[in-house]
Order: sequence, then C-alpha cells, then structure tokens
Amino acid sequence: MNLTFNDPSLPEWLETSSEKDYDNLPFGVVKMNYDGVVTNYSKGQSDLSGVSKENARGKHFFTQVAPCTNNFMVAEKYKSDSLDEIMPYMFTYITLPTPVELRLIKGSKGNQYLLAKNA
Amino acid sequence: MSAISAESQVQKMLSIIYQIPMGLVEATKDGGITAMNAKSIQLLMPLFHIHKLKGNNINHLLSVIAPQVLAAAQQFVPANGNVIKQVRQEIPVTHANGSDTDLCFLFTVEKLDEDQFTYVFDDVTELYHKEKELNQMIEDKAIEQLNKFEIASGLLHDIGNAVVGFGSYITKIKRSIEQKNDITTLQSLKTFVEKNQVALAGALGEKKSKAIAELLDGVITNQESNLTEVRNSVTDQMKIISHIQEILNIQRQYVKGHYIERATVSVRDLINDSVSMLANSFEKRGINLGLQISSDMVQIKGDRTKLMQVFLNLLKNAADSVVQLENPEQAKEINVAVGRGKTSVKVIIQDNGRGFDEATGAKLFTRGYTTKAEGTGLGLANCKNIIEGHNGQIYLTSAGVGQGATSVVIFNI
Repeated sequence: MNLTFNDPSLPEWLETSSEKDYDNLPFGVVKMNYDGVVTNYSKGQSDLSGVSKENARGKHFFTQVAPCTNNFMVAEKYKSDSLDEIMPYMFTYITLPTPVELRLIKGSKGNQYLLAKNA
Repeated sequence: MSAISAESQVQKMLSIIYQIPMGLVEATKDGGITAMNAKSIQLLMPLFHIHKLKGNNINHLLSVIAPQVLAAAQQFVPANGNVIKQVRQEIPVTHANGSDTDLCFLFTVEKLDEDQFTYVFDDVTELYHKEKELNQMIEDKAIEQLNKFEIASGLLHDIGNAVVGFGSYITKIKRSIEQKNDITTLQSLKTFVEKNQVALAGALGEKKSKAIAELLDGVITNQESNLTEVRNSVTDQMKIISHIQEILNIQRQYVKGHYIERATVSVRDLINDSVSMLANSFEKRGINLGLQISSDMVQIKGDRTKLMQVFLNLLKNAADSVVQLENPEQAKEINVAVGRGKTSVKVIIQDNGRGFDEATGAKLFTRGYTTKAEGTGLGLANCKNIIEGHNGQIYLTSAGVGQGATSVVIFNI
C-alpha cells in the first residue's frame, strides 16, 4: 500500500477498505459514523494516542476517545456537508504533547474519517 | 503491590487526569509544554491557531491572552508554591469569519520548582456571559428606577410650587377681608343715624327714620355673618393647604437624595416662597416678620427643593425660638435680610428669641444633636450638607441665652 497522507484518492479508498487495510498505513485512521461513534481505530492511530483499539471502538470519538478535539477547529467542522482538510494540531500520548497533522474527511455514505500523523 | 500493577495504577491515574474536564498544562519556565491533558488542548488549540502560534509554548500564548498571568508566574520569587488562584481572565477572540466573542477562563498557577510550572484553567465563559446579562439587567432596572424618581421628584416640586402660590393668595384674601370690609363704615353710619335720630325723625318722619336704623342693623348683621362664613372657609382652605404641604414634604423625603437637581434658582423667589409658605403660621403665632431683599438679586445653580428645605428649617427654628420668650408681652420679631456682595449672596435670618450659649452653639450642626423635646437633630445637620453641597456656608451665632440668634447663609457666585 503506497497511499500517502495527502493522496487525493484517499477518501474514496477509505470508503471501500477495512480496518486491516488501515492498519498497514504509515499513519493513523479513525472511522466513525456521522454521530461520531468509532467503528474502526487503526494501529497507527493507537500508536499515536496510546488508546487501544478495544478502548476506542463503540465510543464517541470527540467526547470519550479524544476530547482534545472537541472544539470548533475539529469536531465542529464535521457538521458541514463535505469536508477534506489538512491542519496542524496537538495530540497527547497520555499527557505528553505530540504535534500532529490531521486530515479531516467527511464521506458521503454515512461515515467520516480522522487521519493523523506525527508532524 | 507488584511493579506491574503499580505502573498500571499510574496509567489509570494519568488517564483520569487526561479526561479531567479542566485544562491542565505543565510547562518549563520558558513556557515549553511538557504535559497537557485533553481539555487543555480542546481549550487552547483554537487560541494558538487564532494567534498563529505553534501550540508547544504556553508563554507565547499567555503573553497575548493573559499577560498578567504570565507576569505573575515569571515574577514569583519563592522556590515553589501557589502563584495565583482562580484569577479571572477575559479573552477577546475574533474568529476567521469576523465574529467576536469574549471567552473567560479562571487561571490557577503553581510553581513546582525553578523550572516547572503547572497551569490549571477552567472555561467559565457561559457563567461570565450570564453574569454580564444579569448585571446589565440590574443596571437597566436601576436607571428605570432613577427615572421614576426624577419624574416623581419633578412632579412633587411642581405641585409644591403651585401650592405655595395658592397659599399666599389665600393669605392675601384673608388679610384683605380683615382690613377692607364695609362693616366698620356701616357701623359708623349706624352710630351717626342713632345720634341724629331726632333730626332725622323731624325730616323724614319717625317711622322712616326708625326703618333706616333697622335696615342698617340688618345689613350689618348680614355682613357680619357673611364675613364669618368667608373667614371660616378661608381657614378651612388654609388647613387643607398645610395638609397638602405636609403630604408633599413626606413624599419629598422619599425621593430626595436620589438625584441632585442643578437648575437655575432665583434667590429672591427662594426667600419669598419660603417666607410666604410660613406667613400663615407666623401670623397665627403672633410673630412679626420683616423682609428685606436688595434689588440686585442674582440666580444661583442648585436644587430649589433642597434649598427651600434649608430656609424653611431656619425660619421654623427662629419661630420656635421667639415663641419661647419668657416675657409674653415682648414683641416676637424675625427679620430676614438678603444682600449681595461682589462674589456672594448673603441671607441673614435674625430673631429676638431664646438664643443659645457657646457650648450649645458648638454642637448645633452635629447630626443627632437637638435642643427640642421632639427634635430629631437632623434639621441643621442636613441644612449644612445641602448648603455645602451648593458651594456655600452656613453658620449660627448668638450673644447668649435670651439674646436672640442669627442664622447666616452665604452662596458664592
């Protein structure tokens, strides 16, 4: 898999791929429904955040898994109809601040994605 | 406890801290962030972003959004301890779309050692805006209340003026019916007729001359009963007026102090109105009132109602003093003189009443001091406040007990 973080075809690929495929990417992927409930949490994402797949799945991403994103810069943006944006942000591995780059994608079939990689 | 479970305890603790709904940041003295929880990122990232900062140095952000908080941390001398606790910081924010909001954070800063600080902050924006709304509401209410007071005060003032005019008019009627009625003339005519009864009988015949005497009698009786009726009705009207004035005075007590009027006040009208308001009661008590106002009177800026209170008070004090004279035969005199200097207007109220000794004189303007059985001791103290509030002076002098007293009010113009 040679897809890069800012590949234009990434949104389409995400819609048709599985968590196993996401695990092979060199960056983290969170797949959630329009309500924000996590359905897939990739290995890369787990490595970045310190949150295990088991602890993330089924939970509300913006309030329970990553409350640090619950603001107008990240969570609010998913309220628009279409979204594909890359931005610098900050994650914490437990409490250690980690500068990251985020790609926020809203799919058309009821799913939305948050991609993250070390900045 | 094994090493592994101790480590998992720490992990648990850290994840609790991570999830705490309050921003926690640990940073070096230079501001480099070494640890932060989720809430701190949620709250601070937008601010870092708006101010185009990287997001890894809290000092950079604080220097823009909360310079006092940063200064407090930097200038904190002790090796460790609490720098600030729950300090409220308003943070104005302009969004990319141009809209403005005010955030409000509560900051607590602890110094852990020479190079480690923790910053704890709580977002109280919602509370802050609610408080602001509430304060605005209270302020609006107070203004509304003040407006009502102004209207009420103005109304009382106008009614008061009208009543004063009405009162002096009635007093005038009373004086004129006492002085200029026809009964005396009729009575002299009657005496003349009686004296010349014989001559008149010779000229007109006895029957006619008797009839004239009887007619005169009837007219006099009629006039007298009319006069009594008018007199009674005037007295009743005066009672009604003083009743109205009493009510107005009580109402004024409620509204006074709520606002200070600074209108143009004619000193002449002020003294004239105060004197005519009391003319009736002075007359009843057998007090002779002299009034002299120089022709070059000026206008001053002030609160007419309050100034009127002062002169009414001084005049009433003088009246109370002259009616207490030991010799009831002695004339009761109060003289009011208003004169004008180059830079001042002087009002002098002189009475020949009881007067006071030096010790009493020293305490006259003290709040709560009174020489009257029913006094509150507030009258002169209030007068002094009012006159001084009008850039004036007031003082009372007396040569001693039994020597009368003089009140002087000076307005600087």
